[in-house]
Amino acid sequence: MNSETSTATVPLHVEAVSVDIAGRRILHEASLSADGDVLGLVGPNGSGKSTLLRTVYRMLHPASGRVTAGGRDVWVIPAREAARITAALVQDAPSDLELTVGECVATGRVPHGRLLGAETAADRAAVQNAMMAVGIEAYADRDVATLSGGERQRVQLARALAQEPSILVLDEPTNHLDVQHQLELLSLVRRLGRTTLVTLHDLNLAAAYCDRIVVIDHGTVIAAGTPEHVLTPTLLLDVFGVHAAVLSNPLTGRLQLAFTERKNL
Amino acid sequence: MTLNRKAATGVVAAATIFVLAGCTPPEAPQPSGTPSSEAQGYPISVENCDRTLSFDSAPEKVLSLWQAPTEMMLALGLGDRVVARAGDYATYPESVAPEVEDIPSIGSAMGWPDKETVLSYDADLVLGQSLVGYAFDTSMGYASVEQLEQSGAQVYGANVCDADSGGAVDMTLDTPLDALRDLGTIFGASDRAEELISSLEEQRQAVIDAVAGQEEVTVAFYNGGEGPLIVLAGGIYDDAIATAGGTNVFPRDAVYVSKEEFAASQPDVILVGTFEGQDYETLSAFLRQTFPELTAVQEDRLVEIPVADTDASISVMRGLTQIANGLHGLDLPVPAS
Amino acid sequence: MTRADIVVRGRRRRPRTTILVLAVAAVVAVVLSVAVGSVPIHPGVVVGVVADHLIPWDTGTSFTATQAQIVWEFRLPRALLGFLVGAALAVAGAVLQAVVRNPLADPFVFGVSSGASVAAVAMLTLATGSLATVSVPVAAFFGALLTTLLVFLLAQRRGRVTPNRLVLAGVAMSYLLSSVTSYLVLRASTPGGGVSEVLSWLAGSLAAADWGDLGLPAGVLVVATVLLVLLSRILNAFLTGDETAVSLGVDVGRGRLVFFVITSLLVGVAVAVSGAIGFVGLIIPHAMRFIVGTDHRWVLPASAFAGGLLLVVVDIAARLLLAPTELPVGLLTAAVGAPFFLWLMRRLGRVET
Repeated sequence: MNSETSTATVPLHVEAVSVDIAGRRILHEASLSADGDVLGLVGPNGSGKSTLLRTVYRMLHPASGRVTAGGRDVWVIPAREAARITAALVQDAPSDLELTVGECVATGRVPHGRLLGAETAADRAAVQNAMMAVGIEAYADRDVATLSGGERQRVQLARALAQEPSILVLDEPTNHLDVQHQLELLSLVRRLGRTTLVTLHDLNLAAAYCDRIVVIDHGTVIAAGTPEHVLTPTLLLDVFGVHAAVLSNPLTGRLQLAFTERKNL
Repeated sequence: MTLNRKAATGVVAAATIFVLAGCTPPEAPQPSGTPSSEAQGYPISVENCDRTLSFDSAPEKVLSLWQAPTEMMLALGLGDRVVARAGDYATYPESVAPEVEDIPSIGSAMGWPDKETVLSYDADLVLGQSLVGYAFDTSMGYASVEQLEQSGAQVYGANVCDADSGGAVDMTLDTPLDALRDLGTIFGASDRAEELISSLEEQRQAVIDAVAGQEEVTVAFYNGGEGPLIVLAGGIYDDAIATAGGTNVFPRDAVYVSKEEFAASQPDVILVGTFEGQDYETLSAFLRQTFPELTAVQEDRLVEIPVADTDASISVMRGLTQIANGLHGLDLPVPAS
Repeated sequence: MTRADIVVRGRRRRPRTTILVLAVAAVVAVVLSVAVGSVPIHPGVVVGVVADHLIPWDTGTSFTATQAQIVWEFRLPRALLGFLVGAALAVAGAVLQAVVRNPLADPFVFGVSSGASVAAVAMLTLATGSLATVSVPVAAFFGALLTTLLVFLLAQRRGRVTPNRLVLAGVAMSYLLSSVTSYLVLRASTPGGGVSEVLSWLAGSLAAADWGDLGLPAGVLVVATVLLVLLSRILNAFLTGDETAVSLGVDVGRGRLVFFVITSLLVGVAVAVSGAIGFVGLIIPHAMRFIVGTDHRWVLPASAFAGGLLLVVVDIAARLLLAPTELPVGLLTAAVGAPFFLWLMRRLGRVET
């Protein structure tokens, strides 16, 4: 396995970003930063996690505030350049694609292509490495539509890696994955050593694999910090509406949470 | 005219299917009939398309759904019995034009009147062009022949019995004469009918006499289209051409012809058929520009023929005469319309 | 398997070879189309006529003026036009299927053909005199363009155009304009209405081809295809879905508009000269994607050659099958193409889950 830590990391700053959708304010001056670490974004459904991510990969334009990658406003630099810096794994990518796995991963090179469209050795290498990093090189000729949900997720991740980005934005990458692949994917992401912004709804995964966590609720950032700092029973009850006990994972020694519904106590 | 073209289109479609299925189109019955009892005296009967129409007295209320029989009724002096008309396709001939204004027109740009309108006239006799389809096409909401007969009318097909299965191709110059004769019988106006028929036959004979001894010429009858080209053949067209001492270069069922076919056909004369709205200059300019190699074009043997004059109507001998003039460079006087 | 093999090979054949084979086949088809026709002309004469036009010195073959006209003025432009129209429709179909991410999209689902048809039929039935014959292709072309523009505008919502809305607006427009066309055809079916010309146009035909018809389609096809191949990466990105495409740096809104404009020009020019010939734009791109994969660098040129090849071959059949009656080529494209496509689908088609 390759994918070593890159030496220079690129910082991502979301600075007081607000987003309106259909006249309603979905995100209120949200801010967060990451630089070479894995930042987990958690919050209940509808809290605005995906919305925030969309402002980073230029899907939604913020009503105010800005997003910078390496100090440059992603909405100001050309879209292709932004795509060379930031790669995204979106939620609910279409599953009926006619592409093969190899072709899908190869689309990750779109931001890098010159207009004449010739495939360079660098392109081929990037695609190779991406597929091998994620472990799907055996699927290269399979049609994406024939894969399981989890396998498709991994293809999308490989596609994102083929972009050779400095910043990774992953929207619920562990959806549809079985437990083995969940852990493997997140562990791979950590090893890549790039600035990573990832939304997770599984708080234990977040606690185990993220350097820091940002909690967002009703469009506002509630807390930010290390998992230990942020995932307290009080916050979990307040934001997620569950009773939690903070434990330690006997296998890894990292923070582990146990939950029960509110009414039991 | 378009009657024949439309019918011919139907013929081509039907013929194509039959050819593909290995069959040939059946012979279509002809509408001509003879009175089976003494002429003039009622009750009389007339054969029309394998049916017998019987009349105890001359019909009083006639609905004509085709211009040709409307013209015939007027020419026979029976215009006052025609309660309404439809199926007009050209300007009426001068001889009947003033009186036709008195007959209300109930057709439309889209075709014939719907069945309620037609039935509401309570006509004794309905005149149509073809007994199948067209004015009697139930899929278009028109009254069918059966429905009309149930309501007490008799229906006469003036030109063709079944245009859809090849009737039009069998029309001849005699077709309008037979219709005139039948109408004369039905209305007790046989004298007048025979007068008209004789004068038309004289016009025909004049042509036959004039072209006797002339060399036969090959003819293409062009009617528009830039690829494929639309040609008129079969039916009255071929009968007129043959009577005028010519042969059609295209077979009886031809409708669409490719440019190369047309170029290879090398007709001696090209008749350019125009119906109202078509411009002879445009059509002939196209021919000159596209087929400069054709002898007929080089020698400017292009002749305009208003297609309305070749329809199965009282004007049919006009068409014949114009064709004869065009084929042989004659100068026969074209009969008044 | 070496590293290089992982991505490039697999069950897709070598795209470059495929394209070359298709190109050669297309040339052969054009040659065949010039050599055969409802009027029998000896191949030696055909060669002689063509040589006479191309070679400055006397080749010594004798032929009549009519033969020369048939071969050079009628058959050759017709064969070339068949190629251009087939290529244009196939390329347009491939692009549209990517842009709306819908394999059932074809150039006509956006109302293009109904727009061209209604304009052409109106010109044929309502315009009188010399106006009519000159302007039918022009009318058809502008009808096509205006309709696509309208469809695009109708599909807008808050400045965005989604694939679904495009297809819906296009289909609705198609139905609307088709009904208008039907009305005009009905009017033309009455005596003196000129229905034969209208029906002939609507069925789609190459029979009116002459040299003057070739310039514009050729120019548009070459320019458009080159442009589209240059933009093929963007088309590939479209296939991954709108959000992913945006994350890849593609401006999907503007991209859709640009591709829409290019394809409407392609289709407009094709429909203007030959009427609405269906099937080619829908099926050829599919067949090509089976064979060369989904990278539009290959799909577009392959579609161009395959579409041109198909139409030329079908036109030969249209002229010969029921000679001397000509069948409209639009009727035959599906009859010839569909069985081939079904065979292809079974041989190479995707593995269903």
